[in-house]
Amino acid sequence: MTFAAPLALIALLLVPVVVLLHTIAARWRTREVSSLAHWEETLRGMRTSLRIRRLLRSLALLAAVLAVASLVVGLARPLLQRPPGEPAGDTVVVLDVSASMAARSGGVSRFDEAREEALRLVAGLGRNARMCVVAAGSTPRVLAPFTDDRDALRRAIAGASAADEAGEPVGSLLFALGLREPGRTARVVFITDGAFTGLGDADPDLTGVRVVAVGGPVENAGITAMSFRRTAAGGVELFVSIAASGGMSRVVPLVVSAGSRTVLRREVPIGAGGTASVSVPWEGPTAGRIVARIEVDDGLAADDAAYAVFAPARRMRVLLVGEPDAFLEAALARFPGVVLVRVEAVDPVGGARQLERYDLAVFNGGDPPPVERGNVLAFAAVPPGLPLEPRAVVVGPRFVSWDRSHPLLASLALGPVVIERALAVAAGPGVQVIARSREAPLVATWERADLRVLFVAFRPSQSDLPLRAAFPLLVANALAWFRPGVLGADATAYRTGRTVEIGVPGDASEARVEGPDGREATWPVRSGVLAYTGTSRAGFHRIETVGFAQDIAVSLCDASETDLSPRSAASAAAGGAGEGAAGATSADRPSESPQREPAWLVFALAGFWLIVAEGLLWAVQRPPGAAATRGARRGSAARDSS
Amino acid sequence: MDRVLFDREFLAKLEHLSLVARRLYRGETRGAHGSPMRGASPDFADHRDYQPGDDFRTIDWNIYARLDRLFVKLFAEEEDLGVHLLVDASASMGFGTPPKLDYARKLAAALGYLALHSLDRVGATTFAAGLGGSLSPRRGRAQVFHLLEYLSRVTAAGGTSVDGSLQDYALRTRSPGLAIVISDLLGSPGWERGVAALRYRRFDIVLIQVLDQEEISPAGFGPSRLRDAETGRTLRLVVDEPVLAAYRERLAAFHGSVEEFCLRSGVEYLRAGTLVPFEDLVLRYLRQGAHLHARR
Repeated sequence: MTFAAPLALIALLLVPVVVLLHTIAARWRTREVSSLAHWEETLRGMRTSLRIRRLLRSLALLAAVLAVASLVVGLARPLLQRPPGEPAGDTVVVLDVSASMAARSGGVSRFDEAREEALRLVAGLGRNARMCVVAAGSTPRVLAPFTDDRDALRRAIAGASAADEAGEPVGSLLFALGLREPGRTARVVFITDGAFTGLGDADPDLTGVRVVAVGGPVENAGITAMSFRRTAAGGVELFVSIAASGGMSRVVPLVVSAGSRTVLRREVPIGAGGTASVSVPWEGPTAGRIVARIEVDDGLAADDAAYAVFAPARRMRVLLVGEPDAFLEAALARFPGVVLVRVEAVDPVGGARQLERYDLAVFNGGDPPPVERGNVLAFAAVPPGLPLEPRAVVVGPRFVSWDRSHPLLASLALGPVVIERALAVAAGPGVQVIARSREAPLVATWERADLRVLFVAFRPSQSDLPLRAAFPLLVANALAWFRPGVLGADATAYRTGRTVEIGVPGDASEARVEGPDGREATWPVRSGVLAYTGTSRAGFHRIETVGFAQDIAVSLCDASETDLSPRSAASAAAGGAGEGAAGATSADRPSESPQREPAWLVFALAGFWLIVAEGLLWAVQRPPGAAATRGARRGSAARDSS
Repeated sequence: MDRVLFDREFLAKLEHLSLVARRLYRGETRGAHGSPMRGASPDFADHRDYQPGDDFRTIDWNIYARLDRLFVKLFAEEEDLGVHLLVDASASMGFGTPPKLDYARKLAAALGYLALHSLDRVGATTFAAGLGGSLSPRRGRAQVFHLLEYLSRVTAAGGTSVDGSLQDYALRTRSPGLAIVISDLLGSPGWERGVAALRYRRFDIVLIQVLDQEEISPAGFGPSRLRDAETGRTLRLVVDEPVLAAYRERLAAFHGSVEEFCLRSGVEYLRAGTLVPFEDLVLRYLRQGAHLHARR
């Protein structure tokens, strides 16, 4: 038995206190009686029962001591060890599908070992036992819900594979623990290579998760970062970071190419378990696909390459309607991709058709026409037909609260902004107020399938916002919110496992995406935005719609996945393969932690019942109370005087 | 005199009790608390010296004329029986709040007072391990004062031997009478022999057992070291409800045995706890005619 909170055992010092209290309670008090004659006679007739009572007193003390000890042990959160391999009701198998699981050694990948172990668990399922299979990558995914259909489980496991993404084991294990159904015994088995730092709240000592460690130490080097940045002189600089795990220093050949052209080749020395960075002027093209690769033959291939795409700045046609505002015009026009058209007003009847020709309509006050589709940024103006009802004009409102995590308001300091007057509106259903004053909402958004609206309650000219750094940031955030990617003019790259939002021009409702492996899939586009989650594979993904095509680059670039050494305490406890295990084959049983189950409830219940038992034992022996005695005395006095 | 014990209130109670006694025994002559031979002619039995307080009608004037000395006539059924107050003054009588001895003294004083009012001779003796000092039997009002003074000086000390003490008294006393024995009967095995000795000497006996409430119904003690007030011996015992129940059962059995013995022996038996006002016990004594039965 082990303890999750062993410090609580200090409370066992209470045991002598209990014994002392018992001794005090049993203290012999001297009382004078007129004669011992009757007492001695009484004793003579009670010898046996007195012996029993002495025994009961001892038992009461024993019960008290055991109750305290039991409760203290329960407080220390004991974990009872069950021999591994012993099935216990349902099983949730969590397969680590992070990039490090693809590391190969002796021709076998860690994930192959994990798959074999999972299949062994399926084979060992007891009768009426069920299993659920969860893939633990950047987000957990249920591969097979609870079922006792072994074939379905095998198919789900066979169809799983390691992804190119970084893992998030804590969230995945907590997700798996939450899948357990109340009233059914269920264990969670995590099959992993342990290439993560710790399990935090999902620690096996706290949760009883059984960890099965697979794989052994493997030499590896990988690209952990690649980026391009513009220099002050107008040029472009390339930055690449490489890390190595294992016990050997090495020289890693780095090759960066643009299409078929090799732009950079360099030998990068890296110390044992260290990192190295390369920062050089980029002399290649600033358009198209860029690939950085280290030419090594090591355990993990997914981190040997990093990808980037130089994409031209997206054009965005913006119509500015309303009173002239130099600050607003300047803020919109500063972005290279923005094509700004300014008009005083639009036709209130046919204006909607006019607006459709633009990617964004900005109303600086005035009376906007009804808008059916597109993107609208309205300063102190409300297009008809929206769930925003103008009420009154508010004088001197101040920002009192705003959602700092919203992409529109990111990095904005709105507190000091002075507003002369603002249009107070009542926000209807679906309106998200993201900044407000005491009197009224100041910034709100509203979206539906083909229409996005950003409402700002005041005109820039009626505040000192244009004089603050927050103004161009707000405009930039708004443009990026309406049309993601519009601001990017440099090489972009995304991390595997992340959701990428891509602005799709036009009114396309879906886009075709071709992955690095050549497979194509159709993805929905909503409000001109494609929320693409198919980034589990590193490489180039091409998005196409009618009249639009864009490449995005997705790379692993994760130092934690590049370091293939088992680092978590959980895997250490599982006795993850030690030295000499390199080359272990799937025939070798992976090591696993003994199953530990929390047993605090058992000790708490035992303590509770021992307290009850002690109470009963004392109740049997307790001397009568004074009230009862007075009653008896009155009764006997009445009898004697009659 | 113990002015605290025999205060004005106590004396007033005595007066009240004497009135009650007179009402109960109205029409009876001196020394004859209900003759067993009512209606029969009294036979002359003897003379004795006149003592102040004797009934003038019993003076033999013939002898006075001859001898110039006063003698009273004694008749057959009219024995000159004294009232003997025997008070247990052992250490166990000092137990209780108030001490049982105080209760016994008040009881003895009251009964003695009533007897003196009825023109009986009253004497008193204390006993513990053996007989203590005594007050000679006398008649008359002055004896009341002597009796109260005597009783006020009595203290509880020493062991108990009811048996030996009563046997001694029976042997020592020449003229039997009504013996009123006031004791707790605790720690004195064989007390029956003492009472039997008095019976043998033709004493009429009233046995009054006085107990403290703590003895009748002890309060919960828990783990206790009980110390005997007389002998100083100790007994370790966890006094809990079962033990108290057994104790009460044992005590009830003892009382039962006392009652049975007294019934068999023709001994009038009264038992009271110190919570019972002594005057209530005296009234019970009078109503029961205990002293009448004893004289039969």
